[in-house]
Amino acid sequence: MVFLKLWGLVNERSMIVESLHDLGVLHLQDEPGEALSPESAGELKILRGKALGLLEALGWDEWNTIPKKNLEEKRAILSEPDETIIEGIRESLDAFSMRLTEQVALKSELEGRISSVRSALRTLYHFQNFITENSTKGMDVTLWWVQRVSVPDLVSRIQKQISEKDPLGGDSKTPYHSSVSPGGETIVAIAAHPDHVRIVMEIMSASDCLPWLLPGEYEGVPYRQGIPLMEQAVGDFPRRIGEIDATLKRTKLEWGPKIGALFVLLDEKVEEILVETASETRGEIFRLEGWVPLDEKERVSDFIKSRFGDRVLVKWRDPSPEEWANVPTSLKNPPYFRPFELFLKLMPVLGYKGLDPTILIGIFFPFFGGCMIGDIGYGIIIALLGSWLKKMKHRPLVSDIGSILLFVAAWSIFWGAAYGEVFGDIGHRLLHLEPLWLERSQVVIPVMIFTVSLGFAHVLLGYLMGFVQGIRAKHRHLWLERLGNIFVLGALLSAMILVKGWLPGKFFSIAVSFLILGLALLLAGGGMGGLVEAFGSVGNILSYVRIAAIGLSSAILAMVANSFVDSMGVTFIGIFMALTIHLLNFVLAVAGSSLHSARLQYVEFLGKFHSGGGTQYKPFSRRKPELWKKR
Amino acid sequence: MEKALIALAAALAVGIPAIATAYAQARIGSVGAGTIAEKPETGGIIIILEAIPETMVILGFVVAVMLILQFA
Repeated sequence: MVFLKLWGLVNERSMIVESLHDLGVLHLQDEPGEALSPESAGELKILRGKALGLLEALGWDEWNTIPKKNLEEKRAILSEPDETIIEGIRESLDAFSMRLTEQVALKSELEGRISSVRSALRTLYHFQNFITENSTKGMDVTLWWVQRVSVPDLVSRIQKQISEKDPLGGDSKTPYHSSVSPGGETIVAIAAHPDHVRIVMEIMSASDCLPWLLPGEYEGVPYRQGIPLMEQAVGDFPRRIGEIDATLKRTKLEWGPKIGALFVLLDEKVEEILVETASETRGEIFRLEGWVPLDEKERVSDFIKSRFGDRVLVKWRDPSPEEWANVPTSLKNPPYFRPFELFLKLMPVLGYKGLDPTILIGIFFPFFGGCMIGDIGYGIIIALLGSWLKKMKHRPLVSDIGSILLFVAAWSIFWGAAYGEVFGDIGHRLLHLEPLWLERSQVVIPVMIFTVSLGFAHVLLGYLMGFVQGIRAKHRHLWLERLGNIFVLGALLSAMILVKGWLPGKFFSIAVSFLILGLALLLAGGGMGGLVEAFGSVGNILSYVRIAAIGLSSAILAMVANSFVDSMGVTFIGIFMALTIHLLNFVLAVAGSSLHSARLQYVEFLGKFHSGGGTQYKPFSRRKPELWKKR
Repeated sequence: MEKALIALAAALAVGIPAIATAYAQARIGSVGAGTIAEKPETGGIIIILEAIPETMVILGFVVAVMLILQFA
């Protein structure tokens, strides 16, 4: 990284900031805060909020569908947003919002109505016979909500009142029928002669009973006529709701990308204004400063020179050691290894002077994973899966995982050939495939020794990197401790070689010297904690035996799957069981190998030298819709 | 009888660490789920943490294999 200081004329500030935005490489020293937003950004922020609100109301979230050409064209229009443009955007958004709200409200209303009509129909169906029977006798039927009152008492009071008022009225019997609604309230239907309906109403009202009415526009319609009308409505409402849904879906497809593009552009413009405001201004001159990757320095210089000539003054300088903690870290790796940068995203940001382990992870992660899977058949399936995922360029994370899987697949096929495995022992049975190295399900110990040796080399490499890291960062305790561990591991290796008799006995003194020197360095570097670290490193090395253990269990499970065909014959059940166990084994192999290989990188390897404390490189750049995330 | 004892030793070498691993993973899992609910970006780290106690059972498995290969 190099530090850039740029001075320009205030009247050209907007253009300069826009140019830097286009370049997209400057990490601003002082990140502009939204809280300090000037009034000029206020209007745009309101519009941005409105656009986001509309997108959420539409349920649109397909940022990768925004056409780039469309974005570029609108960017030019919004480059210098004057009052007319802002007013136009506001009016458009408001009009759109109103139409959308109308549709959503209508849909909500229809959904509410269909629910109340269905509920009313259920009640009417219950009382339908009672209503029909009494209506044909010339009686009026009314329905009531009854609370805390006994229905028979109410009816007897009504009958008594009718008898008193009209002693010659003949039969004073008042038919009634009650029901309990799903909500727990009692509904009662009372039939009375038209002359006595008033009495029914008075007594029911006096007893705090409310009339049960048909919903909405059917309120005044007689019950018997209301039923067919409401049945028709129940059939009609879903059609209308469906039409509204179709309209909303069309609107979402048509307008989602447009409003999304508008949101992205407004967001960019707000950021530009905030950057302009955050720049230091004195008289007619303003200043901007920040970090630029070294390999972009020339491009930035040339671009500014060609665009603004001598009207912009640019000064570059290297970061001083005191600034290292604040210099942003930008990883730069060969394209093949770039997907493995994903592993560092789970760790604290790498310090500016820290060692980037991406390439080493790119070598060891698939190597260990492939060694665990160790099957040509599974390797081919992983390769197909990886190729499919890699094609999803619009989802960078998925595409990166696809690339990593391709590496794992290559090593799985390599180790599969070494172990002679194609879907377990099928390769051996059908193709007479012989292992190039050994059959791991039969010969376990050599594979374990090999994996522990791998662990020794990997951990030793981690300590070497820790030593280099300590020297680079001038961290005395770190490099002393790491060097001590290297010597202790060297002593351990020498002792094992001597025990095996591969070296003459006189080399014993070298092993002892290594051990003494290592312990002294450990004590000097980390005190007693350093000695404990040495024991921990032995545990770390033994931990690599998991590569053999997981591989062994995977190989045996694959053989168990094939044995189903042996015991059940080439039948449907036999093949089905074999395929099911193979599927399970495949999932376990991929998940287990990835997880454990990752763990070996994080705990056993990176733990030896990786130090966080860095600042993430966040260039002041245009939004990329496919990478856009909601704040 | 001797073979039965070796088999029992191998079973214990795997079984006891398996119980310990299960206990540790259950605790890490429940706490991890809470962490991910609050900070979804910690998902990757939690998955790695979840795998750490498996070392016990893997080493137990290795010991069991060695017991069987050496003595059975």
